[in-house]
Amino acid sequence: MLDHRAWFVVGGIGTLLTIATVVAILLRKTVTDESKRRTIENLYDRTLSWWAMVAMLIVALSLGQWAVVVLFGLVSFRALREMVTLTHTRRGDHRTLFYAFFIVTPLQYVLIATHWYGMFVVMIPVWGFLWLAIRSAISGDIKRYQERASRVFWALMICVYCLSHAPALLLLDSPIVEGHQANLLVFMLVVV
Amino acid sequence: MIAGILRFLTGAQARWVGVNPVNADGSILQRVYFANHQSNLDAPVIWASLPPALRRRTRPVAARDYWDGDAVRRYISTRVLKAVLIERKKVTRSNNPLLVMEAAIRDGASLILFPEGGRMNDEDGKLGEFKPGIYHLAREFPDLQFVPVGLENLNRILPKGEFLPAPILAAVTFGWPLKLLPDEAKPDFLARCKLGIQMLRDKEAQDA
Repeated sequence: MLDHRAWFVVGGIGTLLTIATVVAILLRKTVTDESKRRTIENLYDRTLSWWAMVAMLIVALSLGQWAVVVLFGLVSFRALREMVTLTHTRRGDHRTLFYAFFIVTPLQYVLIATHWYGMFVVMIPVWGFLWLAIRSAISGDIKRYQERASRVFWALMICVYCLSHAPALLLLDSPIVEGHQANLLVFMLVVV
Repeated sequence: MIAGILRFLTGAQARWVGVNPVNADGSILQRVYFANHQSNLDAPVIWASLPPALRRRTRPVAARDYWDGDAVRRYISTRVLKAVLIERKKVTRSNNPLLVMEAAIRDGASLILFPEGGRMNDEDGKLGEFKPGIYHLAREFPDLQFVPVGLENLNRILPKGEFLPAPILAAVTFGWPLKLLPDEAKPDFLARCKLGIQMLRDKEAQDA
């Protein structure tokens, strides 16, 4: 899906990352101070993970739309997992969380992959919100109910709903960007 | 492979804070790992977070009434985990859990043990009373290392009474090994074991 302009951008990122990697390796060899070493190890790890991110995105983009949707779906899933782990939930939220992870998240990405625009913009904010709040209520645990409901809901909004709009760029239907939707996605990721 | 799936599902991060999994020269020690009990996933997750060399020699101690329940559970407990199944309900002289565990240790196996005896259903995750079996094992085998293991979040992944898991990240922390001191009384040793787990969980809460 990448055209020659996108490859320019990718080339630029590749050059920058190569410079960063060389610098990180040199610093790792020269600096011996213990406290500074930790910063440099951190820098080195980050540089490696940037390479991994770029590689995954390029592979996904060259495989096509479905691959991009799947990639972002997995990112959403992992992000949601981190967020819910850090959030205090109660026993009564268990079923709700199950639905959030295994029904709502995949469904959102299926809606994107099938280009059902009208549904994917409202599924989580309207239907998901109502259904999950009701599911938590059915479980019968009223302690801090509103706090718990809003936490699960916001985790879904940020990790799934917002993030899913990145691959949704690929289905943007407009004469200006026709055939170059992947460039939009690359542009957004670089800017962010 | 099953260990890999389990680690992926629970995102279990094994942290060895008090002891190294394998000695510096590559040799392994026979140990008893004991942990707080939150979920039916506990034993499989600890087992999966051990390095393969240890995993082959380590057997979880599990309740026969649950793990011998149906064909699937029996397959997992006997074939995959090679669990030491013990009787909880009808204990007789011939199926005394202690004798079964001692036989497994004499066989050279390390054990995974849950001294609370059952899953604790407490929202705050407080530790329950420890059963004395671990003390008897320590007295019978004074050379074994007793390693406390702190489990976190497994009750959120698969709480008691639920069938469907929520894929929250779990934490498995291996702490500082204990041994029975000469002349140490039973309640003192049990209290020390409990403290060993409690310390790991407090530490985990601080780091998070």
